[in-house]
Amino acid sequence: MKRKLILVIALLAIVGIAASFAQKSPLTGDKKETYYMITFLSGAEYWQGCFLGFQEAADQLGVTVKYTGTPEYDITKAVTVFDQVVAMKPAGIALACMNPEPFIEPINKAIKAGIKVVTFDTDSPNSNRGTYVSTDNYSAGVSAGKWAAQKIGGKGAVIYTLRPGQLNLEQRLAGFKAALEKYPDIKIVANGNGEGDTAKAATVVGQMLQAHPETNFVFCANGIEMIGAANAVKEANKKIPVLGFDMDNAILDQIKADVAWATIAQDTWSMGFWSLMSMYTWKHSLLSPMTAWKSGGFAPLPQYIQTGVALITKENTQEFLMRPKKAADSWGK
Amino acid sequence: MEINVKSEESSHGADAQQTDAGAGLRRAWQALRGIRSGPLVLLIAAMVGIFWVLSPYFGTAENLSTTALGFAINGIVVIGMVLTLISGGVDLSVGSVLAVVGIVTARFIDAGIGHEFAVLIGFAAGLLCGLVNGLLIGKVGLNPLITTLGMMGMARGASFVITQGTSISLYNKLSPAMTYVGSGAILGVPMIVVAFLLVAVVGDVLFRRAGAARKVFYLGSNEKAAILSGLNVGRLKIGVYIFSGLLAAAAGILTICRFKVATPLAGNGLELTAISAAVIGGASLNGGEGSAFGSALGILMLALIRNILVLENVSVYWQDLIAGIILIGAVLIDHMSHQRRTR
Repeated sequence: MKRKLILVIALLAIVGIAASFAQKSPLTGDKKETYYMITFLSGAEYWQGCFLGFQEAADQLGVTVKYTGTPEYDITKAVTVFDQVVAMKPAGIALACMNPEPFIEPINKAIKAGIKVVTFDTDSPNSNRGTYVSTDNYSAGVSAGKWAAQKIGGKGAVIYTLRPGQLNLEQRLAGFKAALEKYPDIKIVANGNGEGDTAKAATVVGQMLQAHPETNFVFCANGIEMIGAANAVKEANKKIPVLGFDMDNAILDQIKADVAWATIAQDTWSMGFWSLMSMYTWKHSLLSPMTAWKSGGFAPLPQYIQTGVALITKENTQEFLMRPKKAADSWGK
Repeated sequence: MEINVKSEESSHGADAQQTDAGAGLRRAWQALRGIRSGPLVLLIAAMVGIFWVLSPYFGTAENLSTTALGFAINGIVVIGMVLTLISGGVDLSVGSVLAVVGIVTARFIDAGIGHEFAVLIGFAAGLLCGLVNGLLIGKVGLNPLITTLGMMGMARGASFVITQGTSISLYNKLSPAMTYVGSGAILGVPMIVVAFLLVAVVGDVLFRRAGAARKVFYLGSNEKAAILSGLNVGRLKIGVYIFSGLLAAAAGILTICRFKVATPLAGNGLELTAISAAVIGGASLNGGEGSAFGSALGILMLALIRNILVLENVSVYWQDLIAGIILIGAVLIDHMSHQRRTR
């Protein structure tokens, strides 16, 4: 009797294992399952890195991904495009929120309609988005401040450029300034509006250098302004380290050529990759961190996925060169 | 012309009922050609038809309501813009006034001073911007382009100064009435769209019936004649820019009701969208021409183009190029159809 029971159990086990082998892996998706990536200032090289990760995750899962957004920095247009994509009822949307509040209701409505929404790069924390995949801009700014202080040995005069009103840049600057407050011998002597433009940043940095010849460090919260700032320093025949944010091949070239000192790069590939993986595992109910997440109305994902930053100087540019750009080719039709 | 010939032929050979239908169609066509915005109505109808076939999502209630919400607030600004164009001027400050009014209103709401009062102050801020524009242009005689460009910088700058670059969050701080205006709906039509329709219809009636509006048309088509015939041109111009400022203020307040946040970059670039819409709708940059109805159609057309580009997932790199081509194409068709009519 006992032996018979063991035999039956063994048989059942074998059948079970065989059946589970025959079953399709839950990580094999359907080409009809479509996920969108939506950003503001669409088309910027920065998003290509994000979409590359998004695309590669999609290739592994066998689902379809699409990219769209608004070329302008305009919140009305950004929300409209999001709503229009929601009307098409895709499986999920990875969204870079230009501004947190306006997206709260649109995101909640989309999730209610069964669309999995995660945010990346920039968040809408009070919405019901599944997770937020990003570098925390404030702590990235803090890192920038620390690296800057190290570079100039804890004393000197710092100038920076900014673009008023652009939230992610404001957060980086807030972190940067907070980090420098710990160094009593470092003074921020001036700042100027770079307007998100290379030429304007060059002009304003050139003028600040005139007014403050003691300047020994220049910080820009984005890459576009950093290129302008670095050239202004060069044109003034000065040797002042310029630290920027973001990474593209033009910025890397500037660093390699010693025009700029360094840049702080976010891991855009990971933002895209983990955005899609999050939505897919959520959509297919592959996560069960708590038994009642569905009835409790929680997203089963980690609240925040930190993708981190790296300091790129002349010594390590090679390691960060972008992969062949297939991302841009797969954008849209 | 071709259409007329064909329908004539078919009506001869067919039975009486068909003749009636043919004549009715022909009459409708003549009537459409008769009104200034007729060709634009046909063009938009054709676009809707094509888009409907192109995308299965285009005709869904959700997509249409979303698209309408997307242009409604801008549409209110366009009605103000077209009056400045009719008067022979232009108001480049509308986007910045929208932003600063939103910020001022939000600041006062944030200070807990009472929502109605905050909204009133917001409108007062819009009125003030319009009044300054109007005084400088109408009384001092400065150029409208430069004056409103200056106001554009001042209003945007004031938004930055007041906020120090950050946004003012109004989440859970709006009154129920403001929340309803921002996200409520009547019979499925969002309140903001209702507000736009109201402004467009009232604007259209006023532009065509009100004596003051007729004077603005007169002023725009020939300023010297208007002065010689004893019109108080300065006061008219002040009125025109106050009208535009107030509508921009309304748009600014609606924007914070909708998004529950006031951002200093709101309405960035709106002035160009508004001018495009007004010109598509038949306004002339030389003054004396334009209509509220046409401008509303203009902003609708721009929104439809953007919508189909998203629905068809056209590459973001192509979007601006294609939108620009369609825009020039539409203006060309409109222009040529009018030329033929006046010939």
